[in-house]
Parts: sequence; C-alpha cells; structure tokens
Amino acid sequence: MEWNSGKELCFQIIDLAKKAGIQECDVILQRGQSLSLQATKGAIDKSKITSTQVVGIRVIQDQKTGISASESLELDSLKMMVEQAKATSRYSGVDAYQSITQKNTADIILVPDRVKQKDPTSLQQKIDLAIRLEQDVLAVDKRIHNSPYSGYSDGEGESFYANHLGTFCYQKDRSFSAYTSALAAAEQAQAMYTSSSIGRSFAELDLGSCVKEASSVALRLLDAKPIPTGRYDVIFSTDEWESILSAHLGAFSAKAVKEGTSYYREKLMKSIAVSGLTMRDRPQYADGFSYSAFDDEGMPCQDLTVIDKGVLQSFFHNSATARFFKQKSTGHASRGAKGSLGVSPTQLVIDKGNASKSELYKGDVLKVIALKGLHSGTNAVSGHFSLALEGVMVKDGVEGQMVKDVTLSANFYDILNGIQAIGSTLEASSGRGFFSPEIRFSGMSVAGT
Amino acid sequence: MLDSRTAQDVISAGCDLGASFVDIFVERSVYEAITLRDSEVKDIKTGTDFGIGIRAIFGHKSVYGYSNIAEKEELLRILRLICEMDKTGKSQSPRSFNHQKIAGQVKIEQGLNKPSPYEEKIAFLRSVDEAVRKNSKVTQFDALSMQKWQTIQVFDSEGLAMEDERHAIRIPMTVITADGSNQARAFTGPGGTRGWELAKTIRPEEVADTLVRRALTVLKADPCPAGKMPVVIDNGFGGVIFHEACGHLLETTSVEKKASVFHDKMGEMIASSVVSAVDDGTIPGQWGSLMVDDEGMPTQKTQLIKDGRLNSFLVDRLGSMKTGYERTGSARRQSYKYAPASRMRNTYIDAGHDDMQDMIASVSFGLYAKVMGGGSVTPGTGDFNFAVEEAYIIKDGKIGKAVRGATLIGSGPQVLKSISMVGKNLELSPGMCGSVSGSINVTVGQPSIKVDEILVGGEA
Repeated sequence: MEWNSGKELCFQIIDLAKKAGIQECDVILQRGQSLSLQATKGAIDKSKITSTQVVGIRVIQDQKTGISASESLELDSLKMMVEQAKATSRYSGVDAYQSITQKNTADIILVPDRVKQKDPTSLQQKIDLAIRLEQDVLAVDKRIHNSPYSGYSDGEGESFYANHLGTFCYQKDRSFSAYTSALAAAEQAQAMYTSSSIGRSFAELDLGSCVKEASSVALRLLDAKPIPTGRYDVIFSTDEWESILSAHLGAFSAKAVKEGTSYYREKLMKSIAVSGLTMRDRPQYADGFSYSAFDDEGMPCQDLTVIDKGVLQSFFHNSATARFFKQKSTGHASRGAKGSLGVSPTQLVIDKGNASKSELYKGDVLKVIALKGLHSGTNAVSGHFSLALEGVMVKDGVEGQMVKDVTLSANFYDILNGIQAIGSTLEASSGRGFFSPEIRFSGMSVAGT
Repeated sequence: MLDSRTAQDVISAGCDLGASFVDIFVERSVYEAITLRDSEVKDIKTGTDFGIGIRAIFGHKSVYGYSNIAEKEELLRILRLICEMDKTGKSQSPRSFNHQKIAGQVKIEQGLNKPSPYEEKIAFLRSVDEAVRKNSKVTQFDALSMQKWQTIQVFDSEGLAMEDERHAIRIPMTVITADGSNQARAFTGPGGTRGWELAKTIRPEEVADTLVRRALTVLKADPCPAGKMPVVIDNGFGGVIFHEACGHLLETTSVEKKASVFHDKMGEMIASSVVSAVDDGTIPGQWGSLMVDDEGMPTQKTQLIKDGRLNSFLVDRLGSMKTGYERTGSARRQSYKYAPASRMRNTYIDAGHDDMQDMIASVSFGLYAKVMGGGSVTPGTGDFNFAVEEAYIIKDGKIGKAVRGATLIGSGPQVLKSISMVGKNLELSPGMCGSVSGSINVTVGQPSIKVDEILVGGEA
C-alpha cells in the first residue's frame, strides 16, 4: 500500500522522540502533487508542476509544548527537528489542558475508490480545456476584451497523523478545478468577474456554467451604478454568504471562548438567531470537498449541531478546549505540520427552510453578487462589517438595476436575528465546502447616492 | 544547498529540450516564531523549509516546477514534466557559471544563523505585555517574534551562479480593549531585514502607550457617517492604498496581460502633478529591501511616477520579454514554491511641500484617516476597499470626534488624480503583500495626503 512508507516515516520520528526522552508527541506528514495551467491569447502561458512534502512534530514535556517542522526528510534533518521541538518546549508556558491522549483501536484509512484509479485524463485534454475557457469567454461578446485569468488545475493530497500511543490515520484525496474571468469595457465603464468549477474528476468540471457566469455578470456590471442610501432587504450569493460567515466563525470556537474573544462566550444554550436557523458541521457530508475522516489529533470526525432552531448548542472543540470546559472533544482539532493546535470546522451545512423562491424574492431585494474588502472591512470581535459590494436589485423575482459603488454595513451577530426567510433549496458554494439555502436578511444599511 | 555540477546538468537538460532560458532557485529557510498570549509563551515554532524551483522559458511562455528533493534524478524528472508540452528539437547552449557571493546591505548581529537568545526575546515580549496591561480596559495582548534566515542560490542558463543570505524579523503586536460587550483592537508590527537587534530599537512603554491609546479611542468612537467626502490620510501605513490600488497596476505581471488600466499610459499623466512615487529596494535594513531579486539581479530604486507622469513599471525577466521594458530588479517570490513575478519592494509616495495643518484646515466636512487597516483591490480596475483603524471627523477645518467602522472605497487611478495636497512628513511602514508569487515582505509609505473625494463606508 502506497501509504506504508509514510506510516513508517511517522513512527520513525516518534521513535527518535522517545529515544530523546520525550513524554508525549504526535507527527503530521503532508504530501502532495499538483498541476496548474494558465491560458493567455489562445496558448498555455504558464504551467506549474509541484511535488511537496512536509513533516512536523509536536512534543509535550511537563505540560509545555514544542513544535518543529522540516521539508527535508533526510535523517539528520529529522533528528534536528526533534531536538528543536524538545529544546523550545522548555521555554513555552505551562498548558495544563494540552495533552496527546487519542488512542484509537484501529488505524483510520480513507482512500476513496475514485482515487485508487489513476486519473485517465491526458495532459493535452487539460491544456485544451484551459485554452477553450479563455476562447469561449472572449467569444461571448465584443465588449469582453480580455480574460486575464483562465486556467485549470488539479491536485492530489495525502495527510498522515501518528502519535506516541500508536494511533495512525491516513487520508488521500484528489480534486480538479477550472476558472475563467471576463474583463469587459464599454465607454468609461470597466468590469471584471471570475467564475470557477470544481470536481472530483475531470469530467465533472462544468465549463459552460463557468463561461456563462463570468461573461454575463461582467457584462451586466458595465451598467451598474449606485443606489440611494437606505435600508434594503439583502440576499447574499452562496459564496458571499460563506465569506461573511467564515469571517465570524471564530465566535463559534471554544478556543476563542476560552481566550475571551468570542462574541458568543456567554451564549451557550441561548438564542442567538431566528428560530428557523439550524447550522451543523458535517465532516462526512458526501457532497462536500472538505470531507474529513479524522481531525488533526487523530480523533474520528462526527457531525455536530452548532445552532439548533436559533439556539447555540455547541462550540467547536479540540481535546485541549474540551479538557478546559470539562467535556468531550467534538473532533475539530486543526493543526498543519508547521502549526500549533487550533480549532476549525470542516463542512458547514445550514438546514433548508420553507420559503419558496417567490416568497424569498417578494418585493424589493438587493442580491449581493460580490463583496470586496472582506479581510479588512470586517471586525470579527465586534461583528461590525462595512463592505463594498456588487449586486443586482430584484423586484418580485425579476432582476433589474445592477449595483456597484455602494457599501453594506451591519453587525454579523445582529443580522442572524434579522433573518426574514430561509429558502427551501440547498445550494453549494463554488468550493463545495459550504452548503446553505438562500437567506433573506431584512433592513440592512446601504450607503450609496 | 545544490552543488553547481547538478545545477549545470539540469540547466543543460532544459536547454537540450529547447528552452530559451532555464533558471534554478534553491532555498533553505530557517524560521522561528515565538507567540505570547495571555502573558504566557503560547508556543515556539521552529523549522527548516527547503526546496528547489526550476523554471524554463519557451518563447514568452514560462513553465515552473518544484520539489523538496535535491537529487539530480528528481530535478530532471520535474524538468521533463514541465517541458513536456513545449519541448522542441532545437537544442540551446547554456553559458558556463560565473560564481558570485553577495555581501549584505547591513551587518546582521543576531540572526538565526546564531543560537537564539530565547530568554531575551521572551523578556522583551513580556515587557510590552506588562506595560499594556497597566490599563484595566485591556482584555488581551498578543505578541509574536518572527525571524527568518534565508539562504538562496540562483543558477541560470546565462551563466549566473550566485548565493545570497537574507535575514528578516517582524514583531506583530495586537491589543484588544473591552467595555462591556463593546471591543476594539489596535495593531502594530515593526519589522526589517535585520536580526533580533531590531528589537533593541523599540521601547516597550512607547509601543504599549500607542497601542492602548488607539484601542481606547476606537472603543469610545461613534459609528462613522457614510458618503462621499474629502479625506486626509496620514503618513506611514496610509501608503497601503497606493500600494494596493496603484502599485499592483504598475507590475508587469498585470501590464503584460493588459489587465492594468496603466498598461498603455507610459509617459502620460496618470496622477495629480503633486504626486511622485518610488519603489526602492536599496534602503538598508527596510522590510522590503534586497541585495538581489529572486532572479539574481541587483535591486534598484525605481521612479514609478514623477510629478504625476508615469515613468516606469516594475519589471521582471518575463515581463521584460513581453513588454520590452528593462528589468528593474523586481522579481520576487514567497519561496521556491512560486515562480518569480514582478513585485513591489519599499513603495511610497514621495514627500511634497504641504503642511498637515493646512490640509485639515482646508476641509469643511470630511474624514481624517489617522491609521489605516488592511484592504483589498480588484485586479485590473484598481477598485479598492480599505478599513481605517483610527479615524476622526474633520469639521470646519478642525479634527473632531473619533469614529469607528470607516472604510475607504474607490478606484486607485481616480484617487491618484484627486490628490490635491502632499505633506513633507514621509514615513515608511512594513506589511505583507499577497499576489501571484505568494506573500512577501514589503514596505508601504507616504507623507500625509489630502484626497478631494472618496466614498466612505460607515454605519451611521
């Protein structure tokens, strides 16, 4: 089996650590390969092939943690990595809650059947796809004068986890993606929009939708203009709703609760949203592309209901936060080979509601297509955000004026209580790591003309 | 690192496959990150990154690959894969290597090439922590000491064989203050191409006072009003707007694709005549400084805009081939995992002749953006959105009450033309820049400037 060499390497490092007198340790090994192609002017302009490996060790000595990593797997480098982790652990603060205790009864191995077969797609097919994306988007309309970003990529990744108690986990997966952009110009106006498609196989990539979305939105944005300042009911596209939610997910982290930075630190089992809202983390939701069999402490992943009918049911825990709050880990430990122990969700799914499309879009609604400045215009601590947007005014389900040069300002934690309707169809984000129906938020503040 | 015979063999193999140019970038980076949180050392991360990137150019097309394994057979495997779709029967002849070793801009006293003084570093972080926590409204203080010692080799088919060592340090610090459920944060992150000796130039009490004052100001601030208004942007990190909304449009990475609105504007007025702008990699010890770029070319000072007129782009090898402009020593990358691309170094709007008080006095109602936060920009159009970390209303020519939640929204090219006053107080400030070749250390900067009209986003 292809993962055997990785398993041997992980336990070789653990043996080195044990010989150095280390009490507790775990090892994360990540390997990957990828191909990316970028098309410009009818030819492949840039291509990239990568082969990577990185291994990292976390040691805990007398309740103090040391972390070290290496991209060289030479024995001398591995020995130095173990020594550095041990040496730096002496200077760390005492963390009475961080401990490596996950002891599984059997190895966890996840290699989906589709990954066991070699990808049958030829390099030429991939090149043709990247070039076709650019050509197709340019052919849609003369006003689209450029497609600066059109391309294809695929990749395969392997994750190994092992600890001093003999726990071993392995997961391998593969994904394919394609993207294109349309840069359109007319008179003084210029607009650009990018669209992408992701699949588990080459055949799953949906080029037609990519081209259609990128070109049609860019063209329509040429006519976009500000709308009057006021309060508007807003529906975000799934990608933008995911972005807003992701910027505030720290509030659901038990680590942030422990550190006192979570807005919801005193809200457990209390209402934080309208009663129609239920949000779950579903690591093994089969449609998702962030599918996980185990977390980064080797714990098997399981579903978790975070908000149930508007009531906050649980935070995301790793073993350290669970020990602090005297409960069980929810299996949401996150740590890369080079990183320290954290907490993160896997695949968030918001339950469907019962509003039909016509109910969702009754009257005037601002549909947000793109938000700008997410990493600067949001304050995850307070929940305030103020972001530029591009979108479209929708009246009774009919799209009208395109909108740009306006800002949307609100507080994330408040808008969960301002949900007016939840759609009855589940939609996936373009990265397929988030699933939600459309949600109508009432009376959000928009600054325009 | 890589022995020159292996490098020569790989480059020769690339030329045999018909590449007109081949280069190899070898990197070994030792890093260390000490995190202080809740007054305790949360963790110390150390490690070594090592890898080799190979680039081959066929005509105007670049192909790239990398591996962590420094063996000839592995490098030849990667090379053959990346050249697979472009190989020709026309073999080129590479030149023999002319070996160079680069001497640093400044003497490094406490880099990671020496044993790390952990006790001293932790004591420094604790001293800022203690000073910050003297204020009862401070609920959290995070500090990080990040250091890197990077050794690179660049070999190419034109005979270049050079080695350079680079040291970098940054100390990001964040304060959170709270009053009931209301919270506010303030950030600073001094850094430079230096060793730990940089920390000895920082006075813990002074940093703590600045951070706490700023976080308390935001905590008490009212929501910012929204709308179009004149904005005075203060010096230092205010230059982030020029960096994001104009600087990126001057990189040949976007110019060569005609994705930049400036691609055909060389020699034309693209800014108000009071604006001159520079990208300078030669300033000793600055966070964005280099001796040589990541293609092995000596770095330089590049005058981007002179008195409002576009004077130069930022040009790497591929950009030069595609646009015809001379290289400017601007090829940069985060690591061996990225092919080099034209990127900024220390970029700033140059000092002008106006006084800050005259700028404020000229505004009847507007915004004073004292400290800028982060932001983003749409490639091609230069449309931007930036948060203002500390802001005040200007009313009747005077700085008034503090406001929170302000964002500046606009278009870089339009803002350049709307700058009516440029101050004398040029200051530089370190930051990180993400783009096609990864996240790199850059300096932004400017004196105080007055922009006649920007759309301000706010919650009031």
